[in-house]
Parts: sequence; structure tokens; C-alpha cells
Amino acid sequence: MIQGNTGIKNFFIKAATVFLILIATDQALGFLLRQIYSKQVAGDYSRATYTIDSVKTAALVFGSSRASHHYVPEVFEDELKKSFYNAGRDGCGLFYNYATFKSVIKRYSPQVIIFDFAPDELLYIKDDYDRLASLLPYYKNHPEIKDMVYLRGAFEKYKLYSATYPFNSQLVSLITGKLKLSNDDGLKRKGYLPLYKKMKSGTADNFLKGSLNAIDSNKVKVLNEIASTCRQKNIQLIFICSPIFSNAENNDANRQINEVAKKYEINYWNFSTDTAFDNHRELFQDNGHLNDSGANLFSQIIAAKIVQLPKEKTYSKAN
Amino acid sequence: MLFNSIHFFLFFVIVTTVYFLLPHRFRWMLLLLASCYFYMAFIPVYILILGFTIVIDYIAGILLETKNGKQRKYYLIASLIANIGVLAIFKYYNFLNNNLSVFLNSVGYQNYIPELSIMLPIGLSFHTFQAMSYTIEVYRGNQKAERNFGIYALYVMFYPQLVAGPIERPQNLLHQFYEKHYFDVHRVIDGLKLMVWGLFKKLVIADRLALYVNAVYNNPGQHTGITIITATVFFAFQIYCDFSGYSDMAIGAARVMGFKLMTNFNRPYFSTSIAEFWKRWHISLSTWFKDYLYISLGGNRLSIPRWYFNLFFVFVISGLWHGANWTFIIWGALNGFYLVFAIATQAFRKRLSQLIYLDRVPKFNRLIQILITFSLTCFAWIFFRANSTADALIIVKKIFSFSGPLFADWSTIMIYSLLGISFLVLAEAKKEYYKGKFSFMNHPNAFIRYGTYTFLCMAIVLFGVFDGGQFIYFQF
Repeated sequence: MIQGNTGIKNFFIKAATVFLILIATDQALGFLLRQIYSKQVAGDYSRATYTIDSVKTAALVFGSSRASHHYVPEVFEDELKKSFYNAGRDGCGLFYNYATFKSVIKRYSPQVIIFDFAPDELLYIKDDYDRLASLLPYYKNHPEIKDMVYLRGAFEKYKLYSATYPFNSQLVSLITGKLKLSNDDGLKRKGYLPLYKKMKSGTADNFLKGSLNAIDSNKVKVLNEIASTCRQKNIQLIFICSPIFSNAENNDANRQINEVAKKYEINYWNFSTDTAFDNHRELFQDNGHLNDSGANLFSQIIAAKIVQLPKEKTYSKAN
Repeated sequence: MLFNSIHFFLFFVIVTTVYFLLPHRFRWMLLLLASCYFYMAFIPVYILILGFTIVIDYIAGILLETKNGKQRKYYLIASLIANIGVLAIFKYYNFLNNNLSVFLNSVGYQNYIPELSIMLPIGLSFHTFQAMSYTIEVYRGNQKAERNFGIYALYVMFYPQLVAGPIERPQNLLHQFYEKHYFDVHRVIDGLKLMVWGLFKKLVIADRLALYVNAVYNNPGQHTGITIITATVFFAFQIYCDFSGYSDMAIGAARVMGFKLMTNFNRPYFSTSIAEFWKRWHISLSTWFKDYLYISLGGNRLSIPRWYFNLFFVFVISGLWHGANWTFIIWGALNGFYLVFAIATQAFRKRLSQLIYLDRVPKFNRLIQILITFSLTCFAWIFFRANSTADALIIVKKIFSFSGPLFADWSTIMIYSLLGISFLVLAEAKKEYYKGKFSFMNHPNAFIRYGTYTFLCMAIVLFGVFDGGQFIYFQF
């Protein structure tokens, strides 16, 4: 029972007007931003779009910045005699990479897929969920990534009714990517982003910032799904933990990757404490990232190891 | 439940709708239930702590009114001990215990008192102070004891200001629960506008600045002086937008339902002195300390040294209220020192201003005073934000070395941050110096008015930070 109230009708008319204006503005702005996003010529967005919508190479690497800065496509192409693309993206962990992997697999089956992991990849890190925001621009046209997007939160599905929300915090990057103001020429380099500095002297931080966290069951599930999908499609899958300057630990997360690798008979090459790289300052830009020299050396080692693998992946029937 | 969540949005819409549909006599029950749900959305079991202090203070209030003489004092003291005791256990126990360990170790003994592994209940300092203001006011005879237990519980738990203020006084809030609030379209729209503005400050400015501030303050040793100065200035705006944004949303949400909460911030960075700053910053807490501690200590009615001590002491306690850490105590002490120093040098500064003819250019003089006050406030914020006193000292040392480049790796964060601060300063300057002019949200032209609403809402969607982002003041 509403008592002695004034202007209720007036309020609802005004509220409806504001609501309609907001919806119209949101849809118009969202449409405009989507157009700009789809026409990116440089930067992260252009590379991500290429990975999700266009890449058709025989070999691919997925991972975070440690993938995008560590795998040199030319080296792999020379050694493997196969086309190669680096689908790594800075700051994006396993969930993001699983989503892009699904988009690629939906279109075609590469012959070789590398997943690069950090030693703490399977630990619970809240940022990994937040960074799934990178997938939001693809949500509308890529139903296969929806389950990953929903990991961001219970209300994500409803937030995505907004056409502008997927481009939250991206306006400046969209402008620089469209106008080619960024120096990022990763697309020309087939996704590889070289780092040219040498690591400064001084104590290196412990790389495993989240090492006190528990194993994230969502990540373990995703890892199993990647392995299972590759097995079904007879794709040569390789797990790699690329080099770390120092202080890498063989933690529970690493053991979990090993277990999945064993279960699905996948090669897991852990270079986190490899003597060819460990404490070789000249090969690193910082504790977690190789510079271009280090990346070339590392790519040669990996490519040579892949060449030595049997050409056709055969799985035992036990699993 | 965070104000900047969809969960709160749904909660607010449902509670407000049902509130206006219900007959007046049932409304307080709805608000109490809603407030319980709001509080329990954080850690449900902590409502028992709140319940404990509510029962104690409710009984204390009645006894304070019905008893005479010394007994009244005892009941007041018992109520204050219960409130401060809860605060001491949950907020200060480990801090005191750790400091005791340090002291005992330094004299060759070991501390065997165990640490408590408990989380601080959300907003404990806020509702404890609000509850204390009730018993003190009843004791002073300024407020009648509340006989309806539910209404008293609602006074402590009223959800818009339950976890981060404004810290209300019983004289302002209690009677409002008995008043009929009709649906007044102008008031409802005013409340909603305030909520949107608060949300904008929180999501678009505060949370954006936090990205840079956290990156720098969590690794102060890795950053240059110029970067630390930038992060400190950013933090000044971050904490202002965070806390005043929360207050705006609290006041707005209450206003929609017809309640008038006290103003908590009044453009504090336009203050020309530290004294003025504290009249404009967190007003509900400043006035609480003035009314219940500073005046009780004798205020300025005593000798000058004692007056200075009272001021300094109140600020140290205010620092401690903000957190159980030496960084907060130093922050409070610094502000106390600023204030005492300003009073002690008032005559000298006035003479100096005349000597260099600053008094002849009042606008420029005012600008200088604003900049000095802002710089002093920023310097104090270093201690407030630093993770430890050791970090704070590194930061203080570094800000005096200007060598090295500005850390701006995340150029997009920098651009958004600077745009956000510029927008805020312009909006606040308009309110400060051009009251009633260039009113966008209340403009008579509907296009401009609706355009402003749309701009703010779309800015929130496009530039707001939606991931994580707790209100900083929740920890207090």
C-alpha cells in the first residue's frame, strides 16, 4: 500500500526514459567499439583475433607472456618444416589459453600444439579469473568460449547483455591499435614478441608469487580437457615449462602437470631449472622472461626435441 | 555485499520497492531484516558479535535513563568497556600481542600468549562508534533511551551506513525510523543521482588509481622518487574517491527511502589548512572524536600545553582507530603535529604572509595554502598506505631523490587515471567555487540532464574497474 506518495507515475516515466536512452547508447557505442576492435592492425587485440578467427598453421604454442616472448616461429618453421604461430598473450593464463585453444580446434586440427606453463600455473590465482576479461569481445560470436567467460562470476552472463561492457577499459588500446600507434608488430612476427634487454645484476625475486595458494581444481579440469581433446583429435600435444632465471621451485602445481602428462602420455619438458639457462643473466630480460637471444636458443632446443619425436602420435589403449 | 556489485543492486531494488509497498508500521522490520541479510552476506557468524553489543547497549541505555547518581556512570563505563572490549579483541589483540613480544624479546624474555587467528568483522569500528555515541548521548541526557529493541538494533545496523558510515548520532537517526517516508519523486531521484556519482567515483577513479598505487606501494624499493610521488598523489585521490564514493552511495541509498544521513565529505582537498581539512574530511568521525573524546579531555579550555596534548592525543587515537598498525598511529600523530604546529605558528605565519605581500593577492594566497595543505596531507598518506613502517621510511627517503624515470608501463592506466583525476577536480571545483552554476545533473534542460546521466553511466561501463576492488575502508 503506497501512502501519500507523489510523482510515482512521473518517476517511472523518467526512469523508463533514462533506461531506454541508456540501452540505445550502450548498443550504439558497443557496435562502434566492436567495429574498431575487429579492425585492429597492431597490438594484443589484433593478435588475439587472428588466433581465434584465422590462424591455420600446423604448429601452435599457447601460453602467457612466457610463451609470447619465448617461442620464435622462424626457428620452429626452419627445424620442423611446418608453419608455426605463437598464440601466447601477455598476462593471460590457462583459462584464456584454453578458450582460444577451443576456438582454434573448432576450426581445424593443428599437427602440433605446445602449451607453455609457469611453474605455478595450476595454483589458484584470482587475477587469472579477472584476466578472462580479454575474452569478452569474442563472447558474442564464439559460443565455445562461454564456459570460460562464466568463470568470471555468477552475474557475468547478465553483464554481457551490455554491448559496451565487453570493451571495458579498452578504449585507449583500441585507438592505439587501430591507428597503429603501438610498436607491437607481433602479427608480422607470427605472434612472437621479442625482448631485447639483458637482465640487470641484482637478486632475482622468487618467481612463484602465488606458491602458497592451493591447486585450482578448475585449472586441473581444464588441463585434462586439453589433453583429452588433443588425444581425440590425434594432435601431438607437448607441455613445456620454459626457463626461469633462478629460484624456481618444483611445487605441487608442477607435480600436478606431471600427473596429467603421464595420464595422457604427453611429453612434459620442464626447463624451469635447466642448467643451460639457470642463472645465465645474458639470456634473460627478467627472472621470468628470456630475451631474444635466450628465446632463440630455447626455440632451437625445443624444435630439435620435437623433431626427434615420432611423427605420428600413438596412444596406448590403457588410458 | 559490496555497493558496487550486482548483488547489491538487486538487493537495493527489492528492499526499496517492498519498503514503499509496506504499511509504515512494518517498515522498520523490513529494514532490520534487510540489514541483517546485508551484514551476513560478508561473514554470517559475525552477526552474533554485533548482536552482543546491541543487547548490551540497549539494556545500558534503559538503565542509564532509569537509574540515578553514580550507578549511571557505572552502566556507561560497562557499556563502553563491552564495546571497546570487542574492538580490542578483534582489532587490536594481535597488534598489542606482537608489540609485547617485541618488547619482551628485547629484554630477553619470551611471550607465550598465543596469537588469535580471526578475521576483523566488517565495519566493526564504524558500528561500535555509532553504538557508543548512543549510550554517551543517553548518559548526557541528550537522547531518550530507545525502548523498542528492534528500532535500536536498526539504529546500529541500518544497512546503508552499517559497514563504512557515516557514523550517525542517535539524535539524527533514531527518530527517522518512526517517521513516515512517502515516495517523493524529487528525493528519490536526488538519492539515485548521488548513488551514481558515488559509484562513478569508486569504480572509474578510485579503483583505477588503485592499480597504479598498489603496483608501486607493494614494491616501493623497486621504484623511483618521481614514481612514488605520483603514486602518493594518486593515493590521495584514490582514498578520497573510494571513501567519499561509498559515503555518497550510502547517503543516496538512505535518501531514496526518505532517510537523511549526515554529510561525510565536503571537498576536503580545497582546504586551506589542516584544521579546515579535518572539518571537511570524514566529518562523522572527526565530529565523533571532537564530541566524545576531545571535549571530554577538556578541549581548549585548559592550559596551552594541555590543549596541544589533547589535540595530538585525539589524532593519535584517530590513527589507531583506522588500523592496528604503527603506520596508522604515525599517520594520526603526523596530523596531530600538523594541527598543533599550525596553531602554535599562526601569528608568525600571518606576519610572514604580510611581509611577502601574500595577503594582498588573496586568490593566489589561497591557492598556495591549498597546495601546501594538500602536500602535507599527501605526505601523511604515505604512512597510511605503506604496508609497513619500514616501507614508509623507504618511500620517504625515495621521494627526496628525483632520479630515474616515471614508472608508466601501463600507459592506459596512466591515461585513465589522469583523466579521472582531472574530471573529479573540475567537478569539485565547480561545486566549490561556482555553486548553483553549470549544474549538469540538475540542469533545467532535459537534454543536458539526461545526457549527464547517460555520460556517467556509460563512463562507469566503459572505464569502471569491475574486477575485485574492495572498499578500502571496510578493513576499519
